[in-house]
Amino acid sequence: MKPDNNHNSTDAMALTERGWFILLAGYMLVLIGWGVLYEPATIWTGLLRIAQNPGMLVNDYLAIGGLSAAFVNAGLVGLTGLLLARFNGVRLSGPIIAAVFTMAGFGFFGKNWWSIWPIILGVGLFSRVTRHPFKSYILVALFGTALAPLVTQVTYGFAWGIIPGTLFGLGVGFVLFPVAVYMLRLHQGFNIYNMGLTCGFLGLFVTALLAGLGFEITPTFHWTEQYSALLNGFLLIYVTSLLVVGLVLTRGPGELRALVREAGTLPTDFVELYGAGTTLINMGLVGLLGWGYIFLVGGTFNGPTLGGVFTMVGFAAFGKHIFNVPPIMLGVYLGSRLTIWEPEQVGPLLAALFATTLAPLSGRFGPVLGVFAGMVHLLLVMRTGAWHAGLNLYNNGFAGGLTAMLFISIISWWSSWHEEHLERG
Amino acid sequence: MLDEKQKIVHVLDELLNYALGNHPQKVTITIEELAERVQITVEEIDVQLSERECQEAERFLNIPRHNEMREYYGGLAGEETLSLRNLRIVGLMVDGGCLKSCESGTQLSIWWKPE
Repeated sequence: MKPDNNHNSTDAMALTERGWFILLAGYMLVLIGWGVLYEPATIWTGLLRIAQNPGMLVNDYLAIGGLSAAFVNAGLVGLTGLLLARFNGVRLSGPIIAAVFTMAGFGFFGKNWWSIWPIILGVGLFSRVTRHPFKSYILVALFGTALAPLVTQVTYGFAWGIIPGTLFGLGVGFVLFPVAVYMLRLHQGFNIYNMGLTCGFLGLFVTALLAGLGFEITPTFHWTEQYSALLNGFLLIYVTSLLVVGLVLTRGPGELRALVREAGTLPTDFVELYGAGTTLINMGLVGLLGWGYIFLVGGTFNGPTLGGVFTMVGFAAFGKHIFNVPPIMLGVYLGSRLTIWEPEQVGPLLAALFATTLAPLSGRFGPVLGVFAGMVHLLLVMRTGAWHAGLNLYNNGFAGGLTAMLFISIISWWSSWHEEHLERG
Repeated sequence: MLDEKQKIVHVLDELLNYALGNHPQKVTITIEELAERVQITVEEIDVQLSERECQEAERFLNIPRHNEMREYYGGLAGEETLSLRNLRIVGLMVDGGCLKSCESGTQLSIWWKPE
């Protein structure tokens, strides 16, 4: 039987399973706590407005429900993921940390405290039918909440009510797992947000079905700059604190030098390979990269951009690091400079943060290819949102999957051809 | 959700990809259904690995069991061609493994309990 824990961490202080739970719960409770303290009087009405918003891309919950409600919602959504993992006896390692931070991040724009449940229950139903424990599918359940806007759009956007909305959520949740596993093979693990490709793919069919029935989805857009200065400071402290906790655990840089040599292809669990301290240092540094990019291009700090940085931070426990992320971001930046967009605009700004789903391409094939991948990704992601009408919150995961497939197919052919010609002399 | 036959095929694919990367003169594969476990042994003639390489491989093969990782990312087994050659995916799918290297060659064994 395998041991409980065998990573060769150099951490001066180890983080137990309970320690991870307390730490992650603490980071989620900070969101709730700040929300509760900031404008307590607006929380309930704000949460109600958030719950009734269709939540498709891009709807900033800070603009819809106010800062307090948006933060409480984000914390609750992240905490839901964490508690589900904990109560199902799932080990809190890289992928779960990624899921919790991603869920919390999208709790600022698109996922709310109730709309995530039909998707999760749909995956739960799948586990019952296939007679496998729910914990085996929990990653799909947590990341699959990217389709939460389908639930809210059917319920409130079309005004069909909660039961039809829930049934749609259950339906897509039920088919998520087999589609997700198949999608994984198409890009060979080079698109870290595999569920983005999965949900985007399913979103195409759902949008087509709804359009076929005569129901067109009308996009809505909410984006606020009201809290930008405040959130700038908050985010800086939040991600820096991860770095500090990591440094306290390792009492030094830990195994960061070894970690940054990883390509980052799925599945690369940094917690398992390098321990808690080094992983937290990486999470903090990657978070600072995200914060720094928004700051340097003069972007807005709001719900969606906070979501972008949270997702980067989460996946810094599961594939992203300070060497494989910057080339992709640079590619998006150069891409927006060379085309009709500007880096601080909504689409390119979010693309720079979320395009880091392609970090393994840069980690495996070098920074030049990473920059090129970032540029190609930007061109695609500016169009893909319309294909699924914004129902898939991981639009960059969808575009990233398609970009990775393009690159991987060409590189696969090239490496086979090259090897064959080398053998022939 | 692979059945045992599919799982053996996919794990073998990964193991072969790993073994052939060492450019062996000869590879022998043994698949055994023992009392309580399935065991696959890959012997590579004329391949020597360093102690560090053996340790790293064993580290991947003996990572703690994660059902959620195995069910989902185990789907990549037998599909990878461009990722760096290691036994990370195999490690998700098996209960344990060991790698021994001496002058005559290298022997890699992995095993798991069938569900």
